[in-house]
Amino acid sequence: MTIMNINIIIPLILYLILVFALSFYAYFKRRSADQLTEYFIGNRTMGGFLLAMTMAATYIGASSFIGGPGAAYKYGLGWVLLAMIQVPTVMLSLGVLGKKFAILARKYNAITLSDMLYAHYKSRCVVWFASIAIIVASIGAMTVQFVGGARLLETAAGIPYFKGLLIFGISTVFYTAFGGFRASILNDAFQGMVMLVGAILLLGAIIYTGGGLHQIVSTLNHIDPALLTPTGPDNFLDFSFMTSFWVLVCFGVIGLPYTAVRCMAYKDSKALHQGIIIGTIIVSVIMLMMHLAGALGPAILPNLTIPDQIVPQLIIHVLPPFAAGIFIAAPLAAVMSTINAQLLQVSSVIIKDLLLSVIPKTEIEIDDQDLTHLSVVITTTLGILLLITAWNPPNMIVWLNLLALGGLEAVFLWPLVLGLYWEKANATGALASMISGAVSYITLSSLDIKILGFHAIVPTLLIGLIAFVIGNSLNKQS
Amino acid sequence: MDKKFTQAKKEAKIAFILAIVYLILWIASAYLLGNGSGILGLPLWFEASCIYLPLFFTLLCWLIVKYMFVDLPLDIKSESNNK
Repeated sequence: MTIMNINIIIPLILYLILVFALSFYAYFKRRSADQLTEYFIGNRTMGGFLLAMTMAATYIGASSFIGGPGAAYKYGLGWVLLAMIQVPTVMLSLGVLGKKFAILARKYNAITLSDMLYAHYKSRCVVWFASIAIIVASIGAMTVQFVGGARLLETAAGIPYFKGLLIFGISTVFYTAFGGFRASILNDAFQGMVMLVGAILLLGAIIYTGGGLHQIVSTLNHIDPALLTPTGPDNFLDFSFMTSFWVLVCFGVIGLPYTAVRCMAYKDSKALHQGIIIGTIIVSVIMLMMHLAGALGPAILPNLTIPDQIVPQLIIHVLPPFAAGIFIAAPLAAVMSTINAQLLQVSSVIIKDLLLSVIPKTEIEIDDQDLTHLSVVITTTLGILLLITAWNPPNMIVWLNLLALGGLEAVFLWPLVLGLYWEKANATGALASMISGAVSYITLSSLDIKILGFHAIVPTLLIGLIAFVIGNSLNKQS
Repeated sequence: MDKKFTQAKKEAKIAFILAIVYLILWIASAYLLGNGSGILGLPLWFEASCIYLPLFFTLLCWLIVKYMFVDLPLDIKSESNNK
């Protein structure tokens, strides 16, 4: 395994070439309409299928393809149940932000989440705070994905960590920087298909190798009967743990900035309707297949010391080498598509919300073409910085990923949702909620305080809501 | 425009209620059905909560989107000089 496996590497290279081809297509498509709206949200032309794929691909990152199945390997079918919490996520986030958000985005000509926040709250402070929160949390989340991708190449294809990081990082940054939102969306769709096919075939091969479901279940029962219960070994998956996940990966997801951006970029109501259905199906199938693969894993590879290696190891064990190469592309696809969404988000924040808002109104004569070039430069620079931060990887990536996810939710959920549906919501309330959310989340998670056993996100969102209402009532006159 | 927002608000409410319905069924199927063997050979609670429930939920989403969501125009007509 330390020797690079040619049969695995060839399909991977073919896969990367396809990804580049899609980016070039998007790049030339963009030449004709060189605008910031095109770069960051693809001129609001996204149809239902693309919307579904990009929502699915953005949610399903390294944690669903590497960390999640790893945890399922350790905690059994209960962890699959936990993963299935995400089934309503696409419907919920597209449905709740929904058409009102899309209509307002068009009315205000908004390109970023901060545009929307500014249009509603009319406060620069809110925008600045939002921008900084997005940058900090996304850098954390993206580092996780970079590490995940490089680890995958390391375990499955025998490519040394640093080499893997370079190959993988450069190609992702390259296609995102040059292709912009359109390339990101096209690649999401392509990667979503790769993930879907990969997940189904992997699970099929596992069941076949294990001698059928009945045989596998009795083997698991023999290893530890608790693997077959909803609460898992040692009741690890207890009430407060499951509740925390309902907040973190289902209800809280409405507040994620990259979800919001996708909610302004689709074409029409029909695209939204299709997006909800197709997205729900894809997320459900991939979540079930990948996590079940991990949960059934002990029946095939009982002695794995590092649970995170279960998916790459299973791929190598149950699939013939060439097919294995194709299916390593699947988790790689998951990781890449998550990074590109966040990378684009951060560079749009830097340009639109920080840079352009500082330049005085009289000098508005910067043309769109210059800005698009600047976007490419900033996206590339960010990518290079991320490569450097991922150079010394942490040992457990999953919890770090959830940490960043929670941080974004802590800041954005209430200002976004209440701004849309509560007429009286004002800037004081939003700021109070964002600041107290960020502060309490950072405090609770850095000191590892668990109130009643809940993840930091649960008390944080409560505090954020209360702060919003209090702050709001302090500013009655507006 | 107010009419559009009323409908959009209604759809947002429906989406939220759907998620709550899923949550309740998820709890019921996962924790009340017990460890007997299901149709496919996996434990019954697992098949119900992780296979049949998502299938049912997808169907429910499809029906609700089809019959309760309205095809609203998203552009504001008054701004005709769109760049």
